[in-house]
Amino acid sequence: MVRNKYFYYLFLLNATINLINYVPRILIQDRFDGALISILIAIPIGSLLLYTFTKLIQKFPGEGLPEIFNSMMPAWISGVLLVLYGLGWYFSSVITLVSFVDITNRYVSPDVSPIIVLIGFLVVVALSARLDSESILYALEMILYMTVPIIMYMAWRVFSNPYYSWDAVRQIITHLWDIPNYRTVAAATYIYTGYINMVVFNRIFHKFRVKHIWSIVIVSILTLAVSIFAPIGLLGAAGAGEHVYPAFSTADSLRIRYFIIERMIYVFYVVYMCLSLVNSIVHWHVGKELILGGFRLKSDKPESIRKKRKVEWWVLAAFCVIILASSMAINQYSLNDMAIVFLDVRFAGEFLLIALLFYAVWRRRRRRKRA
Amino acid sequence: MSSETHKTHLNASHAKQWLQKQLHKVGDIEERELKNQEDHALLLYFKSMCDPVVVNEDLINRFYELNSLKIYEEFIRSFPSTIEPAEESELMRNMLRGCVVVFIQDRVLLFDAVLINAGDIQPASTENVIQGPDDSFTENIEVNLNLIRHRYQTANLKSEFMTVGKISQTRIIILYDVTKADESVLEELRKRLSELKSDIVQSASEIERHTMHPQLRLFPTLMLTERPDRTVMNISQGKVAVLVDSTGYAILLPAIFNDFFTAMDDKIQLPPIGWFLKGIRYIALFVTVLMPSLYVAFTSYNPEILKMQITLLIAGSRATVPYPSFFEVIFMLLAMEFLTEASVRLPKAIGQTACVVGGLILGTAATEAGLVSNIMIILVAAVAVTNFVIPINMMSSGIRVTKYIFILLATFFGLVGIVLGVVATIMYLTSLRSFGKPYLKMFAVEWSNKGDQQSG
Repeated sequence: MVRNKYFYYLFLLNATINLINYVPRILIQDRFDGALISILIAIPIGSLLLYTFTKLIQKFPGEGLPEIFNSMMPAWISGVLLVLYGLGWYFSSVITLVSFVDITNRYVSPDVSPIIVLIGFLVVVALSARLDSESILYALEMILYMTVPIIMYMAWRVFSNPYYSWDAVRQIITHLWDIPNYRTVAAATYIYTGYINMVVFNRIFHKFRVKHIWSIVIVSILTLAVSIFAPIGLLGAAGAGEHVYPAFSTADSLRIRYFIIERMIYVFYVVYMCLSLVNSIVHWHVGKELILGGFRLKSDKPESIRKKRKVEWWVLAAFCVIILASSMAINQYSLNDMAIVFLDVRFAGEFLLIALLFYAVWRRRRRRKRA
Repeated sequence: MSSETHKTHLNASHAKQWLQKQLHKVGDIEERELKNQEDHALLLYFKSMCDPVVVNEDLINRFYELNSLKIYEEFIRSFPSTIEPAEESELMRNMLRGCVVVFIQDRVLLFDAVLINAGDIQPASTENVIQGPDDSFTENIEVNLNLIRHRYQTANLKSEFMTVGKISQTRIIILYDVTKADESVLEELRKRLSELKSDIVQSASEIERHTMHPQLRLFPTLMLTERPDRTVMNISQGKVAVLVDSTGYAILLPAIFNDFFTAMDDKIQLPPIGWFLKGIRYIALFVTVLMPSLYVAFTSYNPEILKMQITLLIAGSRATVPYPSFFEVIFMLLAMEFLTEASVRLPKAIGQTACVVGGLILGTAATEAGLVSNIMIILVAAVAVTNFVIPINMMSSGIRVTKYIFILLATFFGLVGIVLGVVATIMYLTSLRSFGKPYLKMFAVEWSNKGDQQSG
């Protein structure tokens, strides 16, 4: 049983990782086409989705999505839905890992083969995703406490930089009233998506309640502001669009004067590598549990636990193979397209998930009335 | 005997019942019934706290030598330290201090037979403190129990006796405060101890090794200590102590990561200084684990990470070194490990020679010959010193081995490998459990618990 604070950590993890998952790039691509108004629309939508979801999941204390779906629907529908949700959630980590390997190859170690780096990542992620949910949350907490202060320091350094161009920011703000589009709204709501992890982690929460939802809203506004304005201020309103990883290029333009490391990019890289790994571990764990739940593998008896453990290896092996294969097939353009597809599908999937949970609550209430 | 004191007397049978209830599950209690033709008396005392010679001479022999119970009672009363307790709590308090309770008909008397083992107790040798108690456990289990009972005087301190080892028949005592310890931990411990299958158990660490799962691990999940004060502090925090006969160490459980970074000095120093010391130890942990691997990563993979001057400094110092940084680090660290190992095994007098020859002469000569860089020597020294900052030996040995894993990772992956290693280590440590308690966790210490309830 864990305390409620771990929900905020799950949210924070997804909020910080957006820089790797192409969110800033999509926002910046549309910076003259309604990115700002999309962000302004995304904030209430994202917060509302998060709020509604937490209210709904509270109705199922100690239950994960597999238990909820399997008790509500025919086996094949819940099976298909769970496997799809599991794969979708896993897909997010594919983007994180593949783009991070690309970043590693580009910025840090060009002489190490990307496949070897990816294998290193996969070993850590696959072995860690097998751990129990509680341990993963403890590790997540520890890594967030190590990295978030550094992220805050870096954000401060960006905005206090004498070369930071507030004019570029003003220029973007003049485009505030452009027409928003679905793609940018979907990308901006990614910040809030961390709550989806609760579909599995809800099993170990004790009396799950979310207070201070305003703190989540404030943090998300700040995160979005950093994601879009930090690159624009340093790389220029027009120049920001030229970069594949705007966040990394921004970090690369910073210099630490009084430390043994001179370039901010390495600090940034280490911080985001820790976060990407943990993010992938969390996503694999959730994806794996959803898929196993889709096949109705439970862990109540020692015998079924052993069977589940065995199938788990196959699921994780499949995850690894998919990533290895896709990393060879994907180039930068297709990865960017994949990220856009993922963000779009995810946004629609969130609405579906909430609708399904409404249905589940309604079914359960009716069943209780009948009983 | 005045009539007022008569009124405040304890009722002997009530007191006896009360004591028996209080002393349930206390294994070291001795109940001795003395009988002759017409009279009978009962002695009740903590075996570990009372001097057996005094009890035999003054209480048991006298009972049979003196004819009447009246004279026996007068004899006991003649000792100036004998008390007639007015209430039950006084009775218990004195008993825990080392008094024998003597029941004579309807009277309850307390006879002082306190045993203090001052002579044969050595100062602690592996867990030193600057300004604190110096006692350490002896190899005799009764003396150790006596040391703990002196420091923790309550009837809530329960002691359960067991034997382990088919041939060695080693006696062990499970000690815990019944109001604070977790019953599930105790159940689990009893189960694991009864499953212990080895023939000979000679040291506390063997029990540690055979009872913990998984058996292959780098970090200790049970604490071994030679200090009675640490044991007592841990018992007061609700942990369980296991004393093992014929070894000078006690096992404390459950033990979490943070406990291994706590020295008894932290409590002796002023609080901010205690926090500072703890912070120093965690910094030392990072330095000793990461420094050598970072050196490999920075020199062989990513020299551009460091400031230009530092990179040039390292490169200049390494100019004569004929092999990659990986070999350089491994050579020097191995040399240091050899020195450490040698100085542990050698007699003290020769040990110093080994240090001088190894440390000073070899180090200087190796740099002058151009086999290793100057910076490498500084680094090895820093790694060795910081390793010894970690107060508990089992933990510092585990960390000594961990740094080689990081060096390997840095050799194959560079900086990426180190970050991978850090994440994997955090994952691994958080997945460990010590008797159900998470091993590594942020804020493992509850700040709401004041004073003694913090980490130990």
